Amino acid sequence: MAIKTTFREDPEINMGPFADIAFLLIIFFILATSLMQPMGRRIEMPASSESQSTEEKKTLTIDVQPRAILFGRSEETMGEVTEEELSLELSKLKLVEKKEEDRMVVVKTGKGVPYRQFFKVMTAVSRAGGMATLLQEEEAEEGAVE
Amino acid sequence: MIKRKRRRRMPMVPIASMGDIAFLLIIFFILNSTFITEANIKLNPPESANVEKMKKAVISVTMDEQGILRLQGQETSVTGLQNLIESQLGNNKQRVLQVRIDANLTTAQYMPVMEAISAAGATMNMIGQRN
Repeated sequence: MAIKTTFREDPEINMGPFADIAFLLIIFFILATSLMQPMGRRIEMPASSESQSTEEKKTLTIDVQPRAILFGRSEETMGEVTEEELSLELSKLKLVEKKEEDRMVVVKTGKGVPYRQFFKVMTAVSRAGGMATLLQEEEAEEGAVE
Repeated sequence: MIKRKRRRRMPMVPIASMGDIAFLLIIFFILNSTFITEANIKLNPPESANVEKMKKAVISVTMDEQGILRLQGQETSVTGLQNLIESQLGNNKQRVLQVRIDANLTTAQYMPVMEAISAAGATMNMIGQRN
């Protein structure tokens, strides 16, 4: 009886496409991670303990109300402005070239002001080179009483 | 003269090691990238003409449309925020935070967050979108 020897084929995996898939995955991750860049503005705020009294000096003040933005140096000179006008007025002052204490802009926020309004004012101040100091309306009233 | 036809040998490039290198590179990039901690947060970003492209800051503070405050994707309360920010910033030379707040939230909701950040002595990147 003849003994049959079956010829067994060694199973082979073709590695070529495997490497292609791996490289495609790498390229995907490289491209996907670099696409996410948030848009925004860097805001510099002096710490509250360092802020000087704003009563003596006529500091630039922006009063943010729910439907209006008021801008000026003192209560008498405050006028209503739009976002574009505010940016224009701030850029005219050339705050970037001034000393730190002259770059201070007091941002007074009233009650019920939506964040979108606050954001517009803060980014406008930052773009013009100002340093925003936050003041809430209740604090302002207490300050006036003293 | 009998010309012997030499069978041209195809040059063999070992492809098996190429796969190993490719996987090592993938693992390197995966480990070096940071996960998005704020993927599921519902938030309407505010708009302004004064925004520009920013580098992503390491520490993020978000407040979604329901007013829920999150630091690094973890829910926190406003009262402990200043201390948490200070501990997260630690000895970082760059004290920068990324702040994303919903555009419809009011003063009473976002102002304590601003005050906490200001008290912690951190600079913030306020995130929004262009008009």
